[in-house]
Amino acid sequence: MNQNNQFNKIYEDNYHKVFGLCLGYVSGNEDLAKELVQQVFIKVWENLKNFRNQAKLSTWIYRIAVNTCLQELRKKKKYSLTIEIPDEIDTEVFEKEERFKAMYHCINQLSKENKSIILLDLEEVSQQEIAEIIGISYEALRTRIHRIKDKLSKCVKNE
Amino acid sequence: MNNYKDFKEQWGKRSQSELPKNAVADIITKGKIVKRKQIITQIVLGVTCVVLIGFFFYISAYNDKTVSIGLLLMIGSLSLRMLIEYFYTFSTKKILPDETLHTYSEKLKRYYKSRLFISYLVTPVLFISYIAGFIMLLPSFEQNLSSGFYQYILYSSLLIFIILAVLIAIQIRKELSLIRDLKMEIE
Repeated sequence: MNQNNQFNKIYEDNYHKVFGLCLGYVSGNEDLAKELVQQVFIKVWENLKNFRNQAKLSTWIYRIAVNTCLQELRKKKKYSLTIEIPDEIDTEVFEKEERFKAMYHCINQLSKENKSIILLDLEEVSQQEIAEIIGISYEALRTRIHRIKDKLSKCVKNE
Repeated sequence: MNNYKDFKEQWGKRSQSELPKNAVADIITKGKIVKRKQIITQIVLGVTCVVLIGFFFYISAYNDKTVSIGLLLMIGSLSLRMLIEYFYTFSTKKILPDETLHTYSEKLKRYYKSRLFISYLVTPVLFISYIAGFIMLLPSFEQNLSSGFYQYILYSSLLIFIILAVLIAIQIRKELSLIRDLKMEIE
């Protein structure tokens, strides 16, 4: 398999995971999330030759995604944190959007590192893998996740 | 939605984006453009340097002490800036995006701190040297060029220098803000 075919497969297999993660970083702003996903995969393409199978491919891609999303967002300070709600929508959709708004609001209260940890957890990434992505021990991560979950639950209750 | 379990369940119900068409080709093209841009910056600085060196010999600047010093100041500051840019392009390549978040953030912090030293001290010194060199050349320009062309060089350069000074100030502000963010991110 040549590099372009290999990259194509990686892109198709991982697009949705990366998109879900990036969407969390930009509070549901889909256009911005797509831009971030593109930046992430440009980096994946540039660094594919450096991938040495020392980590799982998904861990490697998540590391690039976390670092790239944070770095791009440092540069783009001003972006819309609000979810666009159409003028005419039914109550159910409205409530759903409001719920997501509250969730994003609570996630945005966290530090960037804690935000990365919880977004990965919400994307069903294993705790072992999250520890490898962030660069902290598994034990430290477990304690941290526990604290973040508490904080999020309290925040959502108050929203 | 009272606890984290509910939170996670709701999270899974977010809409998913469809796989974009032709995205892979776009990504590969953009990746190549990024590499090309870095090379173009080096080429532009290099060509300016070569033109100045060529000009130095073309007008036999070595016969006139003021012109020699002026041109050498301009060539020297440009060459040094080019070398620094080359060094930084090389050092950013060492900050791999596939490192852990901790390592990556630490390396970025170190990188931006060293950039600040360059932006606060080295770039202004080189910028002033470049302008000083240019000012030293002005009498020679006035003597050898038509009055109109001399005025054109004088005012267009003034404008360019002002724009460059503003750009440097913006760059320093951006780098300071990035360092502040990085400091806050690592607990």
